[in-house]
Amino acid sequence: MTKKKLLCQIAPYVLVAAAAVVSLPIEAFAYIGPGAGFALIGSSFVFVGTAILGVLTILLWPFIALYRLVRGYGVPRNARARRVVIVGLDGLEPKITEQMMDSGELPNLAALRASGDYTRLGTTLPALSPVAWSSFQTGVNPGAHNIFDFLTRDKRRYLPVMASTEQRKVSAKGLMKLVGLSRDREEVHITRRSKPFWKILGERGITSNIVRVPISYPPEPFYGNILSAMCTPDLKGTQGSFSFFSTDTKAADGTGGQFRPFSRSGATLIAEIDGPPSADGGNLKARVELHVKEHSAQLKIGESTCTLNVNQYSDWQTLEFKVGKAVIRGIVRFCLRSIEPAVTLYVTPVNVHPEFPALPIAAPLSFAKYLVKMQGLFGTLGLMEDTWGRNEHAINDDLFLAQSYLAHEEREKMFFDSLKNTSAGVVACVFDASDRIQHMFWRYQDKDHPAEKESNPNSYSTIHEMYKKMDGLVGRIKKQLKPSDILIVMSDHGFASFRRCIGINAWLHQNGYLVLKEGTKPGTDYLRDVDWSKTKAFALGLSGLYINLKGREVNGIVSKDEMPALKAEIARKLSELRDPKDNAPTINKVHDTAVAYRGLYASEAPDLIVGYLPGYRVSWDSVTGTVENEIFSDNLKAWSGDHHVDPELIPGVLFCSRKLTQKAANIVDIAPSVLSVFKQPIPKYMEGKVIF
Amino acid sequence: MFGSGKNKITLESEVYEIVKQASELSGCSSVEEFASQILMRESQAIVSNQSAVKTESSDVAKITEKLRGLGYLE
Repeated sequence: MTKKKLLCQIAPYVLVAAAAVVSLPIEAFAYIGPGAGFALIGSSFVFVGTAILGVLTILLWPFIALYRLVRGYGVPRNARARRVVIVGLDGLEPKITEQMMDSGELPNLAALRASGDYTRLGTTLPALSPVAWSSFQTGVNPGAHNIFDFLTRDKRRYLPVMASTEQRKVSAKGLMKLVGLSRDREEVHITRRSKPFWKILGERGITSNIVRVPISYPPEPFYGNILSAMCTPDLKGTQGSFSFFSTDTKAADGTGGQFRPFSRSGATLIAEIDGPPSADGGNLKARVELHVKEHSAQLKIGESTCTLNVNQYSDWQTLEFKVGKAVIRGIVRFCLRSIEPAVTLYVTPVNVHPEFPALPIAAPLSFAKYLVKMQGLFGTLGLMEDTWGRNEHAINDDLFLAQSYLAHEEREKMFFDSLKNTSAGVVACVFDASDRIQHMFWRYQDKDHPAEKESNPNSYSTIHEMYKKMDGLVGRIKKQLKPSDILIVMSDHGFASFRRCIGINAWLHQNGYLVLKEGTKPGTDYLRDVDWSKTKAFALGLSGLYINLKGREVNGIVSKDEMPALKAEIARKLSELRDPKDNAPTINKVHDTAVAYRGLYASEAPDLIVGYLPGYRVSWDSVTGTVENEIFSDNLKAWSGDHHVDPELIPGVLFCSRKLTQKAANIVDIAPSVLSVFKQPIPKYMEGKVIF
Repeated sequence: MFGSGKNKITLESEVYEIVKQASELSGCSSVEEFASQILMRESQAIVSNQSAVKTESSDVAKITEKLRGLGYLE
């Protein structure tokens, strides 16, 4: 055996050993904020431990190999494929896909349809990415995996909170506390329950490389590699906070607190970028200096410099935030937006540095470091495309598009590297650009959309071009595959226009189900002026309504006996809601989750879920509990396409390189089908059927 | 990283068997997941009935900050 071959065989075990050190314990968690977590993860202890375990693993390798052979680990000989390659194109809409395939504009997808199979893929209730991709992973309905929306509610406060993670206080104890190696702290845990199919495969020695599949933060260690995706925070702990600096104090006074003035030192402009939360309740800062020239600017960060050209993104730049002796590193891209009349600078959210991760963005952590070695720095934020920055005009459409494709290119490199390194097992990667670009550019292909359109004529074909780009990606993937592989190309939901906003809380208020405190008027956010002693129902999140149930919500008034009739009444009335603008119906169906969901977590779900008709969505303000004056309003934001319509109206796509055994496919079918390909028993709790 | 707060509780064999059966019937991926969720749900109901929490403006500010950038929100 050659040295190279031997190293190749040993490498996975060394990686597994490294994973064992950096990812102990098995429960997935993340530190939030600076402190012991940052210090410990970055300490030399981890590396010394890794080295020792690495040596031990090499010595034990023959015994491990023998054990696995005896136990029948790995892809069995009678498996129907050596590899299952899953390419997720988030939000790819079947109607557009089918039309473009038929007109010859998507030759690779059309060929895949012809040589393999294609069908529309049923999605979850509601048709939201965190919900649908959770069902993809686990093969169960939301009632059994516990993700019903991006948001859920704090039952003791009637406030929205992130649905996919929760914070827990953990007290240090035992020997580790005594010797000072452990202290009380807060951890973040993933709240998606049940078990991803790659974890089940891993228990049977079949490895997977899972790249940016939504709802994987914090990542759960398993026999394989995983890089976190949607809902991975930035270093501030938010879902993505951009910064915008300006010499014009008016421009620097924009919304959201992210617009800041530069400070000056002579001719030098100074920007202080917010980083991780600090002990005093503020944020640690990183200082950068800008020296403006005639057509560009020189940016100085510490000792390094780079040139910024107007309306071009810089490469990723490292920022350092000092806390005591520890240094927390993050990465950002800069974009000089203008020099005249004012100097303005856009800075992306501060992503967790993938080479020195302050938060566990991968399992094992060394997977992120490995990817940096292979392809250079890459963005780690869950939602990489700055839709908020575009909505607030910190960037324009062209810059949003450029940013989306920069993230997409990074994703492609990760995917192809994983594909190359996986000789047997699963490779799964979700590409988000298809979703984000449709969200932000839908107004260009909907002539009736009320939102403002920019003057660039290319914007009208952006979505069309994006579909072609995704088709090209599929073509390049197909070239890398062997006959023994199965290729799946899929989306989690389709897309529709979002022209009109519906204030669900305003509707509940006007229909007497939600009552405001005496003397208050509509308009306050976070349900703060609601009189809970008289309120029967409220809305939080993107599609859910909750009954103010006694014994469940802290100030609940509706009894369990009253609840079914109340739900039926609200569902019936809401289903009849018409748009006063043209008397058009707005809602396809209001779903009772007691009927729609099954499983241990069904009682955690909203009580009713609204399935809108295309063109409509919950209003921006109602999502976070604002009781607005008016029920209906125009959607004037660049975010002009969406997919909160009734799931039966917005399926995704499913392509398979082999014939499907059934055409009626649903996203819950993927997990059991993958297990079946590898001849693994399908757990009884999985609801999906085998379709390939 | 160490001592991540996992504690064990002991169940009588008969109780464990019923819990296991219920776990399978309810579609849970493991007995541990089932037991944790049931205990958490029941305990939270008791705790929350005892302790209504007043919403402070600092809570709202924190939540607003955390949700920033989600895209689907204002």
